[in-house]
Amino acid sequence: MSSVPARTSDDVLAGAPEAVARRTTPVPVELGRCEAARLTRHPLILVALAYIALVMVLEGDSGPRSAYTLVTDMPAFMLGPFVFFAANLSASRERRHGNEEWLDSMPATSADRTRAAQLAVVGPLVLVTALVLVALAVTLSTDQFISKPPALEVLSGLLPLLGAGLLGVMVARWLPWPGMAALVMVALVATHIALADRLRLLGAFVEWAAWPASDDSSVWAGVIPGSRGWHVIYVLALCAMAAAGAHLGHARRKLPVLALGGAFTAVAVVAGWAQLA
Amino acid sequence: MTAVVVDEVTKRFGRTQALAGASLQAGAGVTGLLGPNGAGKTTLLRMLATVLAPDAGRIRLLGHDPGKPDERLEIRRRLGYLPQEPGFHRGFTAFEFVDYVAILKEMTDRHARHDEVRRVLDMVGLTTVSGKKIRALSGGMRRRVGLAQALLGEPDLVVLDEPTVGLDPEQRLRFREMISRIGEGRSVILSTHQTEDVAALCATVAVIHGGRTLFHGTPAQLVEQARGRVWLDDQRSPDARLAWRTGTGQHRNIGDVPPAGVELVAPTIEDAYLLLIGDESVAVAA
Repeated sequence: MSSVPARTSDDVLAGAPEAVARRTTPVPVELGRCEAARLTRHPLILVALAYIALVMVLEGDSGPRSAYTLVTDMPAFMLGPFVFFAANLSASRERRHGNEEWLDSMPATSADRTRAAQLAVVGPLVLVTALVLVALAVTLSTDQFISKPPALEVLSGLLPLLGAGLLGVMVARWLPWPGMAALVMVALVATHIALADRLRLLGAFVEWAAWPASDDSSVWAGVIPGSRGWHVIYVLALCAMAAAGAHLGHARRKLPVLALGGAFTAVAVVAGWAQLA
Repeated sequence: MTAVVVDEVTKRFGRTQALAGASLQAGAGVTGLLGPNGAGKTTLLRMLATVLAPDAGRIRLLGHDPGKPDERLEIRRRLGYLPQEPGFHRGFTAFEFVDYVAILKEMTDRHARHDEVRRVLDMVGLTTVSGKKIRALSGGMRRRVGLAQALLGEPDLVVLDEPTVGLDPEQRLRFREMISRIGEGRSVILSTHQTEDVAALCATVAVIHGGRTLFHGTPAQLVEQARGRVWLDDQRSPDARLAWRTGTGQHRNIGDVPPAGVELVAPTIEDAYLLLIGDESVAVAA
């Protein structure tokens, strides 16, 4: 053990010279960078990445329909739940360990920690994007596409991962009790199934994340008509709604956050309608 | 001007009156809060850590009012806090955990921060195990991780809630030495219900019981309160407020008026503390 540097008693009130440089970067950015690295190494993310890599290897040459799906809708469907749970566990860490009050005694606020948890979701997204780009390059080089997926469509397959992570953070802030994340996921899937059937009858439902037209995954039958650009805006608006929702809990002034959330909801409704063919 | 001023502070949790007019002043050096379980020590320390507001009374920390958000932030920038049960992230390594706290203390320059994390880990003697997961560390090592994070950024006010609890005698000795050094030139407030800690460490001591400050002064002044009121006898004296059988078979008695002819002995800080708490218990009962 080394000794503590000597200080005069006047230092106590005057404030000693700063021991280390502070705030060269905003706290949420630096904390988010560290949390992103941790989230990327999260066991759930590693399992999911191994799974998707295995599927890419096994399904990569199973025809144009499969090749198209692998680089568009598969990341969202296969990795989304993993990112949701990993982000939720990461964001609820302080509450699970019972040290929220302790951390509240520090200059960084709970809002800073929430922003950091949200930024951390970018970590797994970057990793999956890299994986998809490799798969895309391999598929393009082996000439497996009948129709090449547009960039916006590849993006619309990746963005739901951002949404899944942000939703996980929001659930951690609003429903911090054990098992709630699983319950939310079950509720989401159940609601989706229920609404999908009803909306299909009304002619309004389209498999928005799965643009290839056929239900038979082995057959290429063209793509569903619709606006991919509006779809990307729609997904981004949903992401922003989740981000605003997470902050609503501890915002000092709730009205601006509510107004922002309302604006994002309006964008989601408009873009959700505009994406239809 | 003193670093910590607590004046007639009260706090109630439902039907429980945790603090009922506690007062305290502390400057540079180590100040001990001594009191039994449930005395209100932790409640008072949570207020000094700026995470709990009093119902009434006045608190000034490092010249600032913790009730005002801007001033509270200034205090937090110069504060180190080790709660009673820190709730470590057990999957983190010691380095990762202290680094995490360092970011929350606004140390966002990575290289400078890592140097600072290494410095505080070295101060508490954890350099060699800094790469170990916290779940793999002993209880004493975890307490040292907690102390390390409290020392980040050379805080002017260090608040430690029962830092020596659960430590073996050797670890406690090392801890006392560390805290004693930390107290040189900064204000350290620690709570304990172990009188030996106070005797070994503290320049000043406050005895808290029932949410009130019963005594505030130096350990020597506390001991002086019991001078002439502790005696040894072959049996428990009816005049004693408290008495217990010692290892020699004699009874150590403490009370207001020793009987004639008994052997008076030099009081310890524990005698004085028990006398004070005993007095208070009698007063409360009356």
